[in-house]
Amino acid sequence: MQTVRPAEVQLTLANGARITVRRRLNVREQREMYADVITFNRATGEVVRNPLELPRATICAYLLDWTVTDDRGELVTIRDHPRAVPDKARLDAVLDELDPDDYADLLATIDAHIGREKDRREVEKKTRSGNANADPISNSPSEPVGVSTGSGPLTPTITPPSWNS
Amino acid sequence: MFRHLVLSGRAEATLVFGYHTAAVLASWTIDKSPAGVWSLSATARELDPIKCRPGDRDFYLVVPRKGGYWLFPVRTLIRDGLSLAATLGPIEH
Repeated sequence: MQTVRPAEVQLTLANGARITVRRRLNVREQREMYADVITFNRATGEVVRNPLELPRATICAYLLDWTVTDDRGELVTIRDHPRAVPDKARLDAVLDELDPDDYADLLATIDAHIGREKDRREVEKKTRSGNANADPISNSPSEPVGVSTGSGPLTPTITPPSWNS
Repeated sequence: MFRHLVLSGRAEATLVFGYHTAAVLASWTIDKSPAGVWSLSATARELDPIKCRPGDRDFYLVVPRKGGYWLFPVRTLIRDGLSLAATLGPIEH
């Protein structure tokens, strides 16, 4: 168990723009990302989760810098200095001004980065647990053992309960 | 260039660890000695001790200036409450 080092990763979008993102989120950043898709109605006490906001919340959680320009070709600055975190309100406003295709490209690039980092951490976990020679994507055992937890064999290992008895 | 230089400012400077803010400096003075050693004395308004990592490659002092900022790597740091004294590497930006 360890804290998350605030490391940055440079990525290139399909349209050639460069972005800088967090390598991974720490607990606070992850909590803020989840909170970003939730609205709380003080009058009713109702908590509403809006899945439509998840792409924007993901981008805001990861994005640190970019080389995006406006329609005059001038850099759209989102960071006050090379070590700063973008101001959330400013970033929200700028993201809303992007071309939808560029926005989708930005999201896909960040999603792919998240997937790669997840895979990398799985390999690290196996290495730390002493299974250094394990294949990052290991085959399922030939015969299921115990209860499947998701990525096991396709044959069901848990019999659904019968409602007839 | 200057043999001895003293910088101070009213705009808030910050100590950063990567993209995390480790301290916000309400007042600060940077001194370059005749021997070429940069040092900082400052009073923090906010400080997160966990993110204060002197000597780490990602631990920097960010000083605002007209039209931009200066970045100094922080080599050593002594804290006494919110009072800080640090030795700095040469300006990197």
